[in-house]
Amino acid sequence: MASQSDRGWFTAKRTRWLLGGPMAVLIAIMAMGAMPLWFPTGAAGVDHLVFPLILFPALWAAGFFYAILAENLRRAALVMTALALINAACIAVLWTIS
Amino acid sequence: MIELSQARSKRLLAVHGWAGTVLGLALYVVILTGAVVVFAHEIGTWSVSGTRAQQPLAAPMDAKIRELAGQVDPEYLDDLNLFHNGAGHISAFFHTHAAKDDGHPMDKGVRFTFDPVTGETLTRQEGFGDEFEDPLSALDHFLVELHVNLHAPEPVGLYLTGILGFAMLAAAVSGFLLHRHLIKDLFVAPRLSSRLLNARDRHILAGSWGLPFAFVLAFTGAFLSFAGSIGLMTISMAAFGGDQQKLIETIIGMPEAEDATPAQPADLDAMLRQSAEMSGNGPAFVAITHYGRADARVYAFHLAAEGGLQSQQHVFKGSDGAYLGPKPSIGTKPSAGDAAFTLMGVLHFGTFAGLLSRVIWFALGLAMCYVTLTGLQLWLRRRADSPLWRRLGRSVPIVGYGLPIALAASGISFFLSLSAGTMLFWTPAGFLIAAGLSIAIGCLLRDETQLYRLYRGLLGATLIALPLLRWLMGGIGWDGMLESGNDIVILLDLALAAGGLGYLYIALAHRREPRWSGVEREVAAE
Repeated sequence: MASQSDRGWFTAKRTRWLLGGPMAVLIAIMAMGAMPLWFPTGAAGVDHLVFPLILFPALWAAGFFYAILAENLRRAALVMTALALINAACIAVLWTIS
Repeated sequence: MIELSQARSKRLLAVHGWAGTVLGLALYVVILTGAVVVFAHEIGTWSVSGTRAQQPLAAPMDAKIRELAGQVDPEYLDDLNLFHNGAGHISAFFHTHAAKDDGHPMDKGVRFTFDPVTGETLTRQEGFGDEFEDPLSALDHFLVELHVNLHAPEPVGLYLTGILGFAMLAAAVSGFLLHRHLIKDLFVAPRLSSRLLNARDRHILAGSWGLPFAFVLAFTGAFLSFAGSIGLMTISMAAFGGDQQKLIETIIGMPEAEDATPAQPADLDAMLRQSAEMSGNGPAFVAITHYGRADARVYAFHLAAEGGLQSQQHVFKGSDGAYLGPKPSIGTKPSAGDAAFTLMGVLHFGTFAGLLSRVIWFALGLAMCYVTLTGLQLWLRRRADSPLWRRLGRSVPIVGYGLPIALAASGISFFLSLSAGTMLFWTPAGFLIAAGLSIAIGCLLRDETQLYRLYRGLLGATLIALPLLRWLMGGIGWDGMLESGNDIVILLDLALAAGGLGYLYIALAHRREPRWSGVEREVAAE
């Protein structure tokens, strides 16, 4: 498994550190920023603003432990990059309409 | 039982160990101060030897507020906040929304403090909201700030405590996943075959019982630290073009259309009385917008009554006193977001079942301190062959005992400076002096047994000194406390004296060192 990423600077250990460290934080922040676009607004029209704040620690923990526990690092890197891109697109849409 | 591959277990073990090792001592500071500030309000009252008014904001004050409103620039009638300190003195902050020189938004106005029993004005300060001083609240404010942001400037302090919340979350979740026998570990009997195995079993036992609590505290603590800093900034950037004020107004509830027509304020006492009857206790905080105008609103905020789960907020029309209804903390009507937000606060502060739940939160907080320190000791003992880790190991007793000694010393300094009125300087200074002395003792005294005995003796002595100094400097004994209904002061006196006597006994008693039946050998310490 380690051989998948043992090319150049991106060794398996460093890749996991990058995914579990900065990438997990980045995805959590981006997911928090993107949630107001798709999360239901609720009875008082504030749920889409409050729940991203409340769920931020859970968003980080999910990304962090996924990176730590993933056996296939290449797939984990792809999934996390895709998540980051999807959330970036959601933020761009939100930015445009607000 | 959770089955994990060997590689996954190894990685989780590394996360569990390093999360606790790198940030363990800072985490211990936040957890111990968190356990203490569960009683921040009571400590505030205790430090000034009780309050003359048990529910200061329930006392009649309409006439006083009218008198003070006539003494300020009309611009500052835009908003009025009413709150009280541990001594029961009411602060009335007449203000408007302004910005500091660096562009940072900050309330600006005049803050009076007055005695609700005599009606006497005690202080008058003018300026920005973050510049006012309240020497009588020096001790409880110092403890709360140490827990919330480690006394680092905002928002750095909130980021630091948020990161520590993440570290605790990582340690709690990895600890849960690593349990091979979750139920069995709840009843494990610490083995006596070796010191290391005994220490590991004790760590697992305390950690297993404290696991749900650690998870709840880490999650809610990280939320509280990050929501107001990185959270509001991110969502306002994404959805409000960077306008944080607009985001906050939307979350709290948009203000109604303005009507600047002058109007005589209605009787504030009658509104607060009605609000207290509906809530079951007096208000903890009152906000009045547009005082003296037709669109004035009075918001009375009440903490959860004894046995209640949720805090309450009631709104009145300021010009005629008409009741407009309850207001949730978030939004203008009840919602899932408001319920979840309330739950986060209730779970973090342990206010869901009155004093009992807070006592349980305090005890579980101390248990988590034990888990943090024993985890660190295990990590270090396993690496005792390395001189660097051995030197770092010295920091565990220094911080472990140094912090509570320094916290007690801050209280001692508070009392000693009470007569001079210099508590704002001496409370943190006492903490720093005692922390410095504890570090010096830990570095100079090489014998570990002697060091532990000295630390325990010092902790016992400082804890016992606290109620004695409170009585000597405050001048009010227990009979006076009982007469004025300040039972909590007596309870804190007794708790501190009992804790102090316990530590003095441990320090002075000649206990036999435990004899381990097995030979000391290498084991997986984590």
